[in-house]
Amino acid sequence: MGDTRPIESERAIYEIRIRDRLDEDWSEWFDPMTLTHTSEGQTILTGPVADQAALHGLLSKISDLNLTLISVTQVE
Amino acid sequence: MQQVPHLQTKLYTPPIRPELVSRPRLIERLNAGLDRKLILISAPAGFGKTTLVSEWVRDCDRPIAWLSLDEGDNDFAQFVTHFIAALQRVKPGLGETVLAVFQSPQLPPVEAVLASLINEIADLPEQLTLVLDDYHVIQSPTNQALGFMLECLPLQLHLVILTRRDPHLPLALLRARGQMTEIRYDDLQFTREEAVLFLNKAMGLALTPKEIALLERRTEGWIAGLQLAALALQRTSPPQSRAEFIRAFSGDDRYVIDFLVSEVLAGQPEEVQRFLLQTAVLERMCGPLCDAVRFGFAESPSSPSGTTVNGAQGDGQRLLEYLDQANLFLVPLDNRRGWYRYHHLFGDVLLRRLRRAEPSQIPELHRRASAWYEGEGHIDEAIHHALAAQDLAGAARLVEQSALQLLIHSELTTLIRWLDALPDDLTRSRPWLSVYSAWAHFITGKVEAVNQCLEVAQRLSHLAEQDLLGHIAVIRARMALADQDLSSAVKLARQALEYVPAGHPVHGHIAVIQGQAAFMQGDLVGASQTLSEAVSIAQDCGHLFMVVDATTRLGYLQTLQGHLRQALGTYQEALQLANVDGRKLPVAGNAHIRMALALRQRNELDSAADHLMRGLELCKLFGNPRSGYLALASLRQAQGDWDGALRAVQDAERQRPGLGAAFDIMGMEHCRLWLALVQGSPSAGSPQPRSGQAAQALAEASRWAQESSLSTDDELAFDRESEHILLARALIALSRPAEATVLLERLLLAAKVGGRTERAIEILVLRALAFQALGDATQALDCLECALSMAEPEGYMRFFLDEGQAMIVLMRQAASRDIAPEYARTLLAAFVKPAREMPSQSLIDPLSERECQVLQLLTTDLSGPEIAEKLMVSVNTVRFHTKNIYGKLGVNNRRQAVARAESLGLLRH
Repeated sequence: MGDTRPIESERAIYEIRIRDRLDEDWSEWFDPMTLTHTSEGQTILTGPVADQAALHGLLSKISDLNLTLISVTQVE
Repeated sequence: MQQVPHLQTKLYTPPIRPELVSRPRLIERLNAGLDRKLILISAPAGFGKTTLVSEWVRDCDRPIAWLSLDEGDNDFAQFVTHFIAALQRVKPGLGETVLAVFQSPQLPPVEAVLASLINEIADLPEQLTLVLDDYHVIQSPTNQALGFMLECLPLQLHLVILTRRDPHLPLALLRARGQMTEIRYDDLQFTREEAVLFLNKAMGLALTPKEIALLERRTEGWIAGLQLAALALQRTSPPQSRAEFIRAFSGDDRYVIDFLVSEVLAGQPEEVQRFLLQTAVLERMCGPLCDAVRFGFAESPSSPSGTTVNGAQGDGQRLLEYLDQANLFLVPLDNRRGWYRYHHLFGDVLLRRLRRAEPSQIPELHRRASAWYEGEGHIDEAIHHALAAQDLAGAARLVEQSALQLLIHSELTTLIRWLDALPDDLTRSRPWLSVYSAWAHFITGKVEAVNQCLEVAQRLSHLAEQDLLGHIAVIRARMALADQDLSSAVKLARQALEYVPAGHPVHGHIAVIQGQAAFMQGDLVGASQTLSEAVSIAQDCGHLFMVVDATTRLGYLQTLQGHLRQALGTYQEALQLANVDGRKLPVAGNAHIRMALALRQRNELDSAADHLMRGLELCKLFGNPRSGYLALASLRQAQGDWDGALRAVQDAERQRPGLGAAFDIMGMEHCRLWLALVQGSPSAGSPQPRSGQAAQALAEASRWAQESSLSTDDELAFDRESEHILLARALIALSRPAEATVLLERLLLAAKVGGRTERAIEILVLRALAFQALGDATQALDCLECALSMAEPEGYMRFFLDEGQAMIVLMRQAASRDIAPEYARTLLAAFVKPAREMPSQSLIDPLSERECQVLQLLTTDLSGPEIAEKLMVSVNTVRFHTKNIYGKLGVNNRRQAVARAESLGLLRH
C-alpha cells in the first residue's frame, strides 16, 4: 500500500496555456481563473483549482470550445 | 404540441439541413463499419459529427435507432430506459421486462439488467444499430455499464458513439481486434473541396479560391467556424466588403468564435439578439416556452394554466422559425417545428454573453421556465429549472405536489430521483417531503431510514395538515405489521383514521392493514370484506398499486377457502389491472406467483411454470423474490425435478425478507422439511428416493419435531396452522401415526370452522394416510372420500399426487370400492403419467419457449413459411430459430431434429 494521504490539501494554482486568443470577457466563463495574453497571441488562464475533478472540468470546458490546449502546469 | 418533449426529442434523428454538404468519403467508411461492434466518432464540437451521422442514417438500408444523451442519462435506470426506448423504434416490444424493472424502487445489479437485455437481443434474428449522440456527457456508472455491454455485445447489436472526447471504454482492445471503425478530428475537418461546396454552393457565396483558402486556414477546417463565417459573409454583400471581411478575419488572432459570433450577432436585429440571450438558459425550447421565459406568466404558479402577457404569444414561434431559416445554429428536435435547441457551441457562447451582460436576470429566467413546464405538466423539467433558479422552496413544492400521484402509480424510481435531487436540508425541513421519503424507504425496505424520516415528519407535523399525521400513522402501522405486531398495527391504523377525510388513499392503506390483521387471526370473511373495501377505495382514488396488491390478497383468501377457480379469475383480474401503457407494474409479480401456485394445485404445471417465471422476474426486480423462489421449489418438486427444487430453496435463502411482502408463502425451514418429507416418501413418477434420502428426511423431521416448540396438544391458532400440519406429516413419517390422527382431527375441526377448505383437504389427505399406517382401512377411506369430494369440484390434485406410493395404494382401493370413482381414476392416471421430465435436464443448452413452439411445429407437415405464418413471424425468424434448435440438439436436419426431440421427450403429444 502506498501513501494514501491527499497529495495536496490546499488549492493548487494552475496555469493553463491555450493557443487561441480569448476575449477578456471569457474570464467569467472560466471563473475563478484570470485571463492574460502572451505576446504571441496565446491565452493563459491562471488560478486556483480545487481538485483534480475541477481541473478536468476546466479542461472539458476548453475542449468543448474547440480551443487548442498547449500546456497545463501547476505553479504552486 | 408540447407533448412529452423529453423522450421523443431524444429519440429523434436530427433532420438534414438543405445546405448540407454530402460527404461520401465518410459515409463509405460508416457503411464499411456497419458490421463491426462499434463506430466511434470522436472530435470536438462543431465538426459536423451529428450532421454526418444523421445523413448516413437517412440513407442507410438498415433501420438505425438514435439516442441523444444528456446529463440525465448518468442515472443508469434512465439510460437503460432511453436505450430500450430508442431500440424499440426499430424493434417494437424489445426489452419490456427490463423496462418493468425500472418501475420498481430496488434495482437489481447492473449486470443482471444488462445481461437480461443482451440475452434478449441475442435471440433476435435481425441486426440492430444504435447511435449514441453526445456520449461525452456520460460518466461512470453508465459508462461502466456500456463497457460491460460492449464486452458481451451480441452479434446483432452495433453501436455508433458520437463524442467530443474519447470515452473510457476498452478502445485499444476493440481496435486491436478490428471490431471498431474510427472517424476522428482529421477525418472530419472540411477538405478544400468540401469547403468550396459549402461556401459557394450551399451558402451561395461565390468566393474566390484564394478567399476560401484564407477562410479554411483561419478556421482550420472547423465546420462551425466556416458556418459562422459564411453567415457573416452572407450579410456583407458587395464583393469588396467581403474581401475586406475575410482580410480582417484572417488577420485577426482572436478566438474564431469570439470574432464571428460578434459579427453574426451584430448583424441581427435587436429583437433577435435579445431573444437569443434570454432563451440561452433553456436546454430545449418551443415557441410558447420562449414566450414564457421572455415575458413571464401573468399569474402566480399556483394557477399554472397560464397565458402570456402583452399579446406576444406566437412571437416566440415566429422567431424560432426565423432562426431556423437563418441557420442560426438552431437544431430542430422534431419534425413539426415544435421543439428546438441551440447548437451546443453557440448555446454556450450565448449563455456566456448573458452571464456577463445580465447575471441578475438568470434566476428569473429559470423561474419562468420552471413555471411554464409546471403548467404543461412536465415536472422533471420544472424541478430542474427551479433548482437552477435557486428556488428551493419552488422545487420542494413541485415534488410535494406530485409525490402522492407517483406513489399511487408505483412510480417509485421517479419519486426517489426527485427526492434525491433536492438538498438534504430541504427535505428535512419540510414535513411532506419527509413523509414521502419515508414511503419510498419503506417500499425499498430501509427500516432505519423510514424511522428517521418519520421522526423528522412528526417533529414538523405542526407545519402541515392533519392528513400528514394520517400518513405517519399508516407507515408506522405497516412497519408494525411487518414486525408481526398486530395490536400496534391495528391501533395505529385506527389512529390514522382520525386524521383523514373519507375517500383519502390512507383509508385504502388502513383497509389493507385491517385485512391483513384479520387474516393473521384467521378471520377470512372479515379479511375479505376489508380487502374488498380496500380495492374499491383504491379504485376510487386511482391507487393502482393498492388495487393490484389488495386484489391479489383477495385471490389468496379465495384459494384458502377452497375457491380455486374463483381465485384464478381474481389473479387474472389483478394481472389485467396491473397493465399500464402496455407494460406490467412490478406489483403484479405476486399475482403471477399466486396464480402459479393455484395452477400447480390443479396439476397444470406448464401454465404454472409460465406464470411463475414471469412472476419471479417481476419480483426479482421489485426486490422481493424470496416467496417466488419458494413457490418455484414446490413447482420443481411437482415436476419431479428434485435438484431444481433444492436449488430454488437455496436461492430463496440468499434473499433477504422484504418489508410488506404479501402473505409470505411458507417459512424457509418448513419448505425445506416439507420437500424432504415428500421426497422421502417413494412416489410413482418421481425417481425412487436415492439411498439414504429417506433416512435423512426422517432424521431431519425428528430433529425438527423435537427442536420446534410444537406439540400435538398445543392450542391451535391460524398463524401456526401450517406448522402443525407439517408436524402431523412428520409424525406419520416417524411412524407415530396415532399421535398424528389426534392432532389432525383437531386441525380439521379448526379449519372447517374457519372456512379454510383448502387446508381441510390437505388435513384429510394426511389423516387418511395416518389411518392407513395404523391399518384402519375404513377410517382411511372415509377420510379420503371426504377429501376427494371437496377436491373434485375445484380440481385440486397435487395434495394427492404429492403423497406418492402410499396414496396410490389407497386410491386404488377407493376406486375399487366405487368411492369417487371418476376422480380417483383421473388422479391415478396422473400418478402413472406424472409431471413430464424437465426437458432442460437433458440438454446442455435448453430450448427457449419459442424454440419449443417451433420444434413442436417441425413435427407437423407444415412448411417453413406455413410455420412462420402460424407463429406470426417472418420466415427468416423461423429459419433462425430452426438453426438454433438444430445446434442445441446437435442435428443437421428437420427429420433428425424430430427424432432426437422424440427420444429426449421434448415433444408434447
